[in-house]
Amino acid sequence: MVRSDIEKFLLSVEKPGRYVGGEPNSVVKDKKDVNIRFAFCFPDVYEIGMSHLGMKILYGLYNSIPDVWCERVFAPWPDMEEKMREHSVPLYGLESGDPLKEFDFVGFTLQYELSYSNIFTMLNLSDIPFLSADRSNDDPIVVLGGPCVCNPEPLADLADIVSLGEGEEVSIEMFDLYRRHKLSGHFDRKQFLREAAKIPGLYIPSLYDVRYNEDGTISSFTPKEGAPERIQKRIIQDMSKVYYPPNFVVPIIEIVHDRAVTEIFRGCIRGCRFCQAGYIYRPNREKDYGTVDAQSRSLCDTTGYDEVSLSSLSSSDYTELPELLDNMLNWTEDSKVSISLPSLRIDGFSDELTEKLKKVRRGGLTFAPEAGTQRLRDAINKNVTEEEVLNTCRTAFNGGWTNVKLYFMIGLPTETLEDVEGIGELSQKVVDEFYRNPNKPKGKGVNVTSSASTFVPKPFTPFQWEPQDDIDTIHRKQQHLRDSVRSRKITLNWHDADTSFLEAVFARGDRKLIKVLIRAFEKGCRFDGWDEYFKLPVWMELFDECSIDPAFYANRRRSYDEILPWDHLDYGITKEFLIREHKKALAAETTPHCRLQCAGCGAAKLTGGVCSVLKHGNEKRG
Amino acid sequence: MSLNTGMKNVVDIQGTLCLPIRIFFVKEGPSKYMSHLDLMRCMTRTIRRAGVPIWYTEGFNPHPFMTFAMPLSLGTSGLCETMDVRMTTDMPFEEVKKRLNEALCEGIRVTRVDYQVQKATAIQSAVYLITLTSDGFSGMQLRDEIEKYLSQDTITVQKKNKKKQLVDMDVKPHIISYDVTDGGNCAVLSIQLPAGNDVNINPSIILKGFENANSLSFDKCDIVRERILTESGEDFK
Repeated sequence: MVRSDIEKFLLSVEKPGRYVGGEPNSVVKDKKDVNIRFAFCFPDVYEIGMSHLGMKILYGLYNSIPDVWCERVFAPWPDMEEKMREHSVPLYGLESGDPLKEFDFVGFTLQYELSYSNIFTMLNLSDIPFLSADRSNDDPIVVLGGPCVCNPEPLADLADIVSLGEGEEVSIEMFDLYRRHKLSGHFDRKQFLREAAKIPGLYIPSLYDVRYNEDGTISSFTPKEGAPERIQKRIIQDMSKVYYPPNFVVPIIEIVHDRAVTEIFRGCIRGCRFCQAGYIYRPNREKDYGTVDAQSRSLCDTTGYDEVSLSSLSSSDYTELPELLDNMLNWTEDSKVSISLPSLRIDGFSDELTEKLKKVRRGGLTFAPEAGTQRLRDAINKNVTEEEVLNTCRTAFNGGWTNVKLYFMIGLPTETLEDVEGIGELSQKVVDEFYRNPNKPKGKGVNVTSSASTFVPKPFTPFQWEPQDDIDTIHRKQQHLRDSVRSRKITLNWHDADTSFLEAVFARGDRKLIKVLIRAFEKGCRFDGWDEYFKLPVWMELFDECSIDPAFYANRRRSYDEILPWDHLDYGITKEFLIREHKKALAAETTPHCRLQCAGCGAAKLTGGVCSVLKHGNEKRG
Repeated sequence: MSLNTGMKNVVDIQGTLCLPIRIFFVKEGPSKYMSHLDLMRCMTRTIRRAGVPIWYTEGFNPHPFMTFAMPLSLGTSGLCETMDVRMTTDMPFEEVKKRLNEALCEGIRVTRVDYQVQKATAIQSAVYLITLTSDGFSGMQLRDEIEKYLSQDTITVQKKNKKKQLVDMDVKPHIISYDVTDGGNCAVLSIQLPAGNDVNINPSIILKGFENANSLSFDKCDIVRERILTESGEDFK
């Protein structure tokens, strides 16, 4: 519903459709039937947040509980924020128009570090204190979730509760506890949080004391009031049985991923050493193809979307992919629905798959060799050879494709200038492959787009101890890359090193960083993930002002025995495994994927999916 | 319902029925913040959700054949909007209306489904109902000021030309009729302006001109397109 007090200025802001709600399939409940009101906040703009699958799943799940009402909240674009402040309009839920302060829970999903500053904007616009310690019984409970909470420490003092891992089951347990406390008539926030700490997967940062050494590293991390020493993330055992939304809210303005999405699996079997998602979502668990097919069909019927995307970390690793595509093509062709299959691996691109994909979509093909030389690809455990890259491109060119996108990273551990040159050389070999192909499409040139992002070392990866290249080094490497590409058939893109630096600071940050974030909000930092708003000099001033050296977090090599800010969080994988993998990386040795051989990462204790199938191997390795 | 509509092109080249129909609808509330492109996307999905059998264009990238007689500006409500589509089965109009209304988003409501009686080129003018408030002005004061502004011999306003540059124009000769009344705390202006292919005047340029001439700004400026009329002054059908 549209709040009447925003209507007078809504036409003076960009894309007013972001702020009005009322979309098909959005859920409006009668407040008198509701015990628990949950504000699901995505700390970025509407078009980004509405594209996020996790929000769609939890929105549907929460609203399927009769006395829970979940609403959506996004960060207002700066023009809207200014108007809201000018007219004293608080941030509100899109469904009811009610201010966030009236909700029982305010939940933020942390998808990327550069959205952190927006969380402060959103709390401030809601008149909710930034720090957990400053909130009273009347304030909402602030919950954090999403991938970045595998190191929530920079926001630890802000969070009342951090929910680790997958949310479908644990949030229901949290609601049950909250309902008991609320309906008892004498709700006490501290007591509720102490009880919540007993639910597996819920981390209550206020129940832990952190001490530091003189050099700034952590000396001890101590639970109090009966809180567990380590908190283990939650996972869903059976992907085919877990709740999946029968419909999505269909936005009235165009969003980034404006289509139906069906998950085909969670977790990844690969273990690429730079990839946080490849570790924190373990074990790999597939949804059976019949379920995927039925859910896709239902979503298209209830949303009216004419495109469905099959989502996972690596589509071609789905064991039932041919069966799934055959089944789906049975109905998608008649109902004019197109299927998109993102995240294809280079080595998963068979002739048979190409044939099916041709029916599925046209357009560009995107592959991620990640590194330019075999040595570096081995070091990061990409497990892809140059021959496979070229074979795949040949197959694609045979199939009529003329555009290929290649993704690389700059700044990977052990990288040399030779590896950087390798990016240009591999791109050139792809171009040559096109012209060597007798079946190449007539009268068309090839276009290879190579993008090089900047590597950011992340928690729970074998590179969690590694320093990030400093900005000058990255700039030198980018220049070297530009110099090594000659062909006009190759378009080169590279990623801004400044944002990657800030990302690296917060990805492996500790509790000391919250003061920087609060000051950043006060100094006007907003939408740092957006080039037009990101200003590194402002951040550098802030670090200086707070006497914090950002290089301590981003560019310092950590030792294996240092207590890392996220060591008390248990994502299944063990430190011993990560150390083993790190040493193998330095020796450029690869590790086979989970289906070939269990690497003993530790996630098997969570049970489910590929680990259950390979249980024998796990027991052997202990 | 009979298919003997006296209209051409009721089958496509493959012999599939493609019956042209006109859907009349209201667009208001949150939906008035939907741009024209957003509206087309929204209607495509609504039709798919509703299961109304719509004719798709042939060719490489089939899409529903869909046209709108008079796109509405972002922020303006409309009570008599039309969308033309073609149906591939003989679904009763009442059923089409019911299905669409069940699937539509807040603020859009189908009022009527009919044949395409007139061509969109028959449209000559539109009537807008505009509710205005401005801080420090009573409804009566605002009414008097608007009356004074509109009764001038020439009314110079700025309009974007085809190169998107702002140019001065005299809008007075284009105002077909108007009536401004005191609504208590607001002024209510009813104005008929040319619309359609030849001349098209958006009431907001006149309101902007008024604001500039009087150095004031409206706190509320609610524009509703109430009627779309043909040359004879009858509602477009």
